[in-house]
Amino acid sequence: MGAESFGFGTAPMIAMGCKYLRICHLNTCAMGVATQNNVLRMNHFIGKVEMVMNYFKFVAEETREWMASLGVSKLEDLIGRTDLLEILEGKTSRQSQLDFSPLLKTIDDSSKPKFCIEPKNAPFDKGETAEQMVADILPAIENKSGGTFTYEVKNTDRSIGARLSGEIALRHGNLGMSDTPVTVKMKGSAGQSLGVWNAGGLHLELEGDANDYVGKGMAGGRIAINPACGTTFKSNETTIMGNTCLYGATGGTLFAAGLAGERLGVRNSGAYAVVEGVGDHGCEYMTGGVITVLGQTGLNFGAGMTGGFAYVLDQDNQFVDCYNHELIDINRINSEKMEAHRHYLKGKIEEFVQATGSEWGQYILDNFADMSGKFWLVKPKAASIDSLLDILSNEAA
Amino acid sequence: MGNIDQFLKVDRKDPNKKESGERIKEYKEIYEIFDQSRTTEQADRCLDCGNPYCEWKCPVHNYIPHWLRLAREGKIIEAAELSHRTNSLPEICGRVCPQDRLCEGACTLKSDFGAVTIGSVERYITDTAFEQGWKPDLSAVKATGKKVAVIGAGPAGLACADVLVRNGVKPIVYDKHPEIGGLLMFGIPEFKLEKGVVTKRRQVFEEMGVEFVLNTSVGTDIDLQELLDQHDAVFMGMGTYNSMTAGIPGEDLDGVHVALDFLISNVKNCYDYETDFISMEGKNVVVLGGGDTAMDCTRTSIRQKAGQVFCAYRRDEANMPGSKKEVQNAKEEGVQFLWNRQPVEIVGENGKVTGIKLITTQLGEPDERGRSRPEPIEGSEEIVPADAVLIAFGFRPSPAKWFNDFDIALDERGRVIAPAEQEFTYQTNNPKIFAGGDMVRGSDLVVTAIAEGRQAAAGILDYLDV
Repeated sequence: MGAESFGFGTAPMIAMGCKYLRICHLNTCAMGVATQNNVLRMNHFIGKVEMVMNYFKFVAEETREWMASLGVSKLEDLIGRTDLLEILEGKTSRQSQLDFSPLLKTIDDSSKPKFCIEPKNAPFDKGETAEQMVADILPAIENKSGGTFTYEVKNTDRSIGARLSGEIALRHGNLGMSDTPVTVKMKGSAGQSLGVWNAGGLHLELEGDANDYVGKGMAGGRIAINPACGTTFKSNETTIMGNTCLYGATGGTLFAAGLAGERLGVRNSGAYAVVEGVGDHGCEYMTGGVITVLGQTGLNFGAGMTGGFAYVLDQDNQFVDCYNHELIDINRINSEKMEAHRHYLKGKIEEFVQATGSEWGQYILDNFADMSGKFWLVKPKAASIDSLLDILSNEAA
Repeated sequence: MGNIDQFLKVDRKDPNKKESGERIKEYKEIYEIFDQSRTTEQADRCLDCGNPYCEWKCPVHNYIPHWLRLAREGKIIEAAELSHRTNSLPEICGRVCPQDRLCEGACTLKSDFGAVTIGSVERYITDTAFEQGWKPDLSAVKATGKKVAVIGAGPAGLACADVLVRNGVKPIVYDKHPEIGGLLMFGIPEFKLEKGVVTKRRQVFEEMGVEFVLNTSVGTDIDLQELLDQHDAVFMGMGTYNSMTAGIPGEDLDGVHVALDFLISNVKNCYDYETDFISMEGKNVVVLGGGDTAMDCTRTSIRQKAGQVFCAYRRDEANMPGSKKEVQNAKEEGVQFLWNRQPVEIVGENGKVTGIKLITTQLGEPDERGRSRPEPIEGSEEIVPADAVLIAFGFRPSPAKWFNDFDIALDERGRVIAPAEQEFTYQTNNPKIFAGGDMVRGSDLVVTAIAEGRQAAAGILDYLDV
């Protein structure tokens, strides 16, 4: 009646086999669409690209047929044409009393547009800091020469790093500049989405703190955050970044010397992170990557987690009540056969301490023989410990 | 919490079936009832789809995933309560519904994993709840003082009465038969539905406050006008009783019967009701037709110790309209099938059947409903010797003579016009009279009759403003 844009979500998915069961969060999709279960994916998924192509072909064809029968040649000419609608009589006497006229009223004023002609809503944040960064750093990207640059940031500077990642990806691909990284050192409080879609070859180092969505959709590179110089609080008791960090990340590394908010690593499929604590719903729906938590987690850790794994430091034995038991299990790493895991974990913490200077991380390293007994390895029930080691060795290679 | 991947680990298992050699010796149900551990195991296979296709497909829209979960958890009373929220006769539907065409046919798991055994669990829930002493709790129902006459104690009438009594309206159910149930009691053979199930249900309904007036035929024993005068509304659920015939010579011969007469006389004979018993003992029987009623006839004949029992059907096995499961059961019990045979003439001597002339057919172009048309092959006639021929070609509406006197309008096929989509659902042309089930939609399933009886009751409640 007035819609001027539309989206397709479920319908094309149904065209390729989805039965709209609404159990996508359980990993048991019997059609093999929304699951990490290999049996279901290999043996029960019937989808083909052509099915989706056919669906859109038919949608377009039927749309054309309808438009032709209405004598309309352009889709835009249909917007707001409520005069083309016919009102059904209704099945009951009450339905037939419904008055649709206010809903279907058209305003006959040809001086006013029938649909939105404003190009877009201008955001409050003009992105000036981000543009300054591009101006300063672009030559280093173009020449693939790397380098270190320093800035102050405020919490109104949103999506810092994204412009640079875009320029990198445009020229060298997502990971093409990993060998000659640009390091951006920042001080202050970063606005939302620091390091969003971060490309390989961009290292962000922030002294201060960050808002929500750090490393959202991150593909590569590294983000390191440590408390501002001169702070007196303990980093492992203080929040350093907001909610939903690493949402949908596919690669890269995030080190944060402090606590992360809720939903750290939600839908993460390949990023590595070390933090000193997380809020509720950590690693939710995670399908890949490794999250190391050097302290407490909130409730519902690992809900819907079907891939990747995590290490959690559980000093006061509370983690068993915090994690979601549906799809994951927890294992100690202090036995002989878990040597590889201890080794891997220690290496990650060393990297983390080097990047952030975390005192808490250093304390753990100094007492690693004792502390390693208090870590849990958290993994999907369906994954064997051996398969996790494969991931580790692949990464080493 | 159940096992969310149970469907990957455990296959569908139907209830155990008695050996055919044993079951043809008795008029008893052939499937064993699940126990709690089998119920838990099988119910746990349900994916609990957010969009439960089983529930949509079910004519009464049972809350299937929900009561599967309750059954799995052993919460049988809660499951029975929930099951009765949408269905008036769940233990009967669990036994006689063609689940493979309804809920289980729509089950997401059907195509790749085997559907959940919904029917068997449904039956288990109510049977077990009754065993545990459960009965519907009507203590919170406030009587409205209104009364409704229900004509016909079949599935439609019983379902209507069930909804009415739960809403404080007194139903008085009239039926011409000596027991409630209609075809549930007298039509469906005991190897599919034991009659104790129906009489148990009668006891439950009577305790709920439903009154039954049996052996009473409306129009003969009592006039409809009397019912209209004494009640606030009338519901008719009288079924379809006109048997379709073959339209071939010899149908009037001694030894030719329509399916329903045969089936009814058998149940009545078993329960010592007065009847002209039709026995197939020692006879060679040919049953014409390929639906579930035809299977009922063949298998009843086997149990009556008939000689040879044939079933002749004019299309092939794949195109039979009845349940595959029933055809399989009939084969196991010794029924012989003559596929692609169309009856031409029933032959006889001295007024008695001696055989049936069949012509072989081949399947041709699809008809308007998409099924292949059987075309006779010239010169392929054969005579199959028979002492009895049973015609199971389905049923046509059987409108009563008095419908006209009360402005009850019929459509061109003789069905009562009582649309669902109107202000008072299933109201007939006479505002005080409602109708549902086979007499409105033409002969159909037990569960569709239940669905219509319930919806008609909702229409009556609206009409009575309660």
